[in-house]
Amino acid sequence: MSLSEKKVNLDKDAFNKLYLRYKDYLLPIAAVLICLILFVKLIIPQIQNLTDLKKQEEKENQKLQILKNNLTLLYNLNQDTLDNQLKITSKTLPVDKDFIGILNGISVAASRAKVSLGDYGFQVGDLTKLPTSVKGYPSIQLVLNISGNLDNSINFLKELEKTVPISEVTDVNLNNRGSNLSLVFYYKPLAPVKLRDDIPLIPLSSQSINIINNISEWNNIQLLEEEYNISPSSSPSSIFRGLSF
Amino acid sequence: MNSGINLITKKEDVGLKEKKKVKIARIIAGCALGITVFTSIILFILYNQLQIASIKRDQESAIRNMTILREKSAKLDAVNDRVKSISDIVKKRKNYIGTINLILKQLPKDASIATIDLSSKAIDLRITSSSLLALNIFLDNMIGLAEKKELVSDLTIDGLSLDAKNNKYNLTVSSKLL
Repeated sequence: MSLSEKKVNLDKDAFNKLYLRYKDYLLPIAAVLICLILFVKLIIPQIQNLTDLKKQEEKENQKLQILKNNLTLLYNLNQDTLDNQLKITSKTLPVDKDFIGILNGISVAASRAKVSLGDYGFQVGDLTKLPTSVKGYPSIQLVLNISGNLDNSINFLKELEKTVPISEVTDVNLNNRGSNLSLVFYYKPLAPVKLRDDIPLIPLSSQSINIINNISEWNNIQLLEEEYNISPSSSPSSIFRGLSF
Repeated sequence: MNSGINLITKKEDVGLKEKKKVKIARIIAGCALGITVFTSIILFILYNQLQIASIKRDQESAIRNMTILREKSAKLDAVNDRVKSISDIVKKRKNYIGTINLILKQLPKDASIATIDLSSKAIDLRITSSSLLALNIFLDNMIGLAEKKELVSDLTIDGLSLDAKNNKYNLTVSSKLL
């Protein structure tokens, strides 16, 4: 018998001895090892995945809730009221340079204050350039001469404050024979329509409704509403009809 | 009877210990299997409770309904935006009428305003009266306003003249507005 063969036999014996000695432990150890592998490779990743899915579910649920709230809000909005509110606000702050509205507003304020209008001049600005920003409030400047005493001129300023389109007096030169006024009439182009389903729609607050109600009592709103009734195609709500979303 | 006699041999004692160890190993393996099965069942139940698919379906249905209401939504957005802008402009507007009324309140009965030149930063006034005392009262009142830091911050007399034809004094003053 060679030396190497002897060594092999010795290991075999040892292995046999070890097997016989520990064979009862083999199955439990294998079971524990398989469980460990399952835990590390499958169960722990699945738990992590479940946490992510739960977060996603929560997010999707919130989005659904926003959608449902938006739907309820829009269903409950009265179409006619909304159209009327849009008309009023768009006449108060027009979407573009509303010369007819401005002339109408000035003449209504003048007749109510019992002053006569003298010369006036618009400073329209560049007609070829569109307003680059819709954040600020672009305006048309107007220099106006009115004839009337001081009280009437002050009344004209008061009337102009509650006349549409919305304006601001920048310079006043009043005297007893007549007055010279510098005014700006504001307008604001429509902001780009960004409708996203996951953003909650904001209903009109009571403060906003109060503002609209207040404006609806201004001097020439009724006149302008009549104008809309005659020609509904010029209504600001028609702006939205051609929009594709 | 002698109770100190050991009837179990040493070899049998070792065998008992060995069986105990095997039993413990089997219990540990059983526990590991039990925990694995239990965790898997819990995970299965939790996965089944997830409602992402049904939420997505509801979302799609809501989005379909929203499409019909897009115009309304755009209008609401526009009204909100316009009301905010109008409110901003109204708040920003200078209250010239209030300013003029406050100036008029400072005038005594026998004085009147001939001209008011008003800008956002300054006011120039020309007051006429047949009495110098009335002009003095007006100046005192205006100085009072400036001292109280109300409406004007200072007061400068630009001129005082006599219109002999009409027998009236003309006082020209200017102020910086607060």
